[in-house]
Amino acid sequence: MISTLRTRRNQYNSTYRLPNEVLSLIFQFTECSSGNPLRPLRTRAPLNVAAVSRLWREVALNTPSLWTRIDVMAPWLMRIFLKRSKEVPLRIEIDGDKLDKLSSWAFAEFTWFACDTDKEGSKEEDEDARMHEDGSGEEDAHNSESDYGRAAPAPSRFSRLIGFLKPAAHRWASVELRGVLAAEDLQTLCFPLSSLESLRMNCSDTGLAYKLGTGTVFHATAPHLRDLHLAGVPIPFTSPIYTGLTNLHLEHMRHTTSTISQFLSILAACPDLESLILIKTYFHHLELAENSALSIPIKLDRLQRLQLNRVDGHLVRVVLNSISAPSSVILDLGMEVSSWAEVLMPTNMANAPLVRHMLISSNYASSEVPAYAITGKASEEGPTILEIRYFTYPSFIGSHTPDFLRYLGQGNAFSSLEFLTFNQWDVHYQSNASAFAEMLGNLASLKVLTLGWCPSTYLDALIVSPHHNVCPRLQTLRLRRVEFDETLLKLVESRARDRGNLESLELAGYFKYPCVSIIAALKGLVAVSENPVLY
Amino acid sequence: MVNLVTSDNESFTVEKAVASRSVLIKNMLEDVGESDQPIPLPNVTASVLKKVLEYCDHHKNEPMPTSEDLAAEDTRKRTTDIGEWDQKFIQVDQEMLFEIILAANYLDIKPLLDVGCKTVANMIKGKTPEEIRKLFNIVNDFTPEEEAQIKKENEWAEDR
Repeated sequence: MISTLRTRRNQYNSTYRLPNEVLSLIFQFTECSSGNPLRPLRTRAPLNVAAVSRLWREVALNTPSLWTRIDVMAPWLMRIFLKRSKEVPLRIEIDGDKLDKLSSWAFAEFTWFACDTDKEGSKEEDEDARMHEDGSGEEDAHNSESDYGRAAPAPSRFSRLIGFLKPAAHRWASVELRGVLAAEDLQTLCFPLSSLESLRMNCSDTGLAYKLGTGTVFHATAPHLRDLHLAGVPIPFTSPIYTGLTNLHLEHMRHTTSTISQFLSILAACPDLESLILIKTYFHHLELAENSALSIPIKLDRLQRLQLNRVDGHLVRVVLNSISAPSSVILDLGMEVSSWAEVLMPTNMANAPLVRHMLISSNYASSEVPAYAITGKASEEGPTILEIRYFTYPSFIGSHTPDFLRYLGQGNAFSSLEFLTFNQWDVHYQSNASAFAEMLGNLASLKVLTLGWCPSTYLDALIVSPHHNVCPRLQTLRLRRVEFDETLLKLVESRARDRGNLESLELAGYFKYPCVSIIAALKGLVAVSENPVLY
Repeated sequence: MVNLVTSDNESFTVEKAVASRSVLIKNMLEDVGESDQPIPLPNVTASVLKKVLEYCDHHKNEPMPTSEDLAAEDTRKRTTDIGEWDQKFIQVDQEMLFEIILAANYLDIKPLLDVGCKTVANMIKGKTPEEIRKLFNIVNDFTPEEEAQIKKENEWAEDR
């Protein structure tokens, strides 16, 4: 009676005016996006909205997608979620920490339920209600654990959980496994996953690669898999899961047996790839793999992002030389080097012709900050479309000057580059002047050149002579704290007026001009602005 | 221009592009063709329609959600992010919030319906049943038996 009166009172409530399908939509929004899987279950939405009122419960229980996120939770609860999600695709999230914290009797329940499901099939309908009524399940579970323990060696917690979820494997749409994987766990996943679209696995066991070896450890067939994100789980490239992907992310991988040729075969099997990300991924004998590049490039016409970060320079070159990507692709290339002698300049960068603005900067070398960074944009205010970074190992050998910059823009790769800023921060690893000159020789369309903290010898490279004329379209030269002498005067004389296109000289960051007379002479040749703010 | 008449008999004359953000109105305009006849909106009051039209006017140049967008419902529900302008727009009292949701549902303005529902969802997130009841002034109308069952069910979620 009281309940009925309260229900009537609720009918005047604002939320009760919403049609059930709108209330259902609200509930679905409560259980999406940024939820923290480690957040206690009691603060998560499905159970809470289902416990507000009779109407809310009815709507919640008839919203299957509200119950599709299955993470590590008590078996009875997991069963409730599986049942209430009906036949809607599931999101499986298993976190190693939570798995460890789950009580041992819970795992006995997983086993018990798995057996029970096999035996009784559809009888499950009323079991959760029975459980809630008399609470006898816990005791049963304890008994079943001991029975099971006598029958065979106890399977791992992970495999028990997977065994419990396996009857719904046809509904697994996404699987995220964090910190739970051992080689034997991977072997547990050996059944068809017909609806799987996204698989993310993360393992901190650095020895996993050796344990996986060459065997086929991931037997699952997943024909609809599109998003594959593996961190520290080097599943051999012979696995069928590397087919038809649109997103491939491999991180912290040390492939002990898979080869670069096998990796290229994967790319050929994923023609619709939109994002390819490799971070700290290594192959054995990669330095011998330059010839692995394919004579006919793999067409990846949908590739939007290629990130090869903290990898060997050879990998970058082999990948770039083996694929054909659209010019709209965003390239992020970060290479680790142990000495300047082994530094490689990437070639075949598909978006290079779009780069109009470029910044080259050097930093004090450390393992975290790139010693050299090259960034390119299509417009000044636009996003970065190209990044090339060089990171040095702690054991870096590099007292001599790097000359890899001489290869930048070879073959007129940066045919549209008009604005170049060159900031030289670290005097210990200065680029040498001849490399700088050769680089400028590759950048024929340059109109504005900014030099910051560079050695004065760089100015020599810009002096025009009958035998030497780099950057013939140069209109503006900006110098920031670059020491200069009469060389600058020679440079400007050789490029100003009828000899070239240089129109303006901007000097910034000088506490005191070294030669006032030179400034006066420069002003007679081009427009000179002093101490503008340069970025 | 399109003439809309609210349930409290107030008229609003708006650009066709603004009014057509509503699939209901867009279909009506397509059905009747060029006409000066006012379109009655018996389920929307003037104060709510004014707010809805403010939203439609701001978004009038954006592409309408396609059938593919609507089919990809799962994708839509993956995020509860709301754009900066929309967040400011939807900062209204609870009564108006639910009125906007009802109007968006009636007028079939899917993006506005989503903004409203996401706002309510964000209010619910992380709250206990009791906190939700208090927030929306809902009374617990479960029978003692139902209450006991829910309590038992939720005990499993404690400290997991």
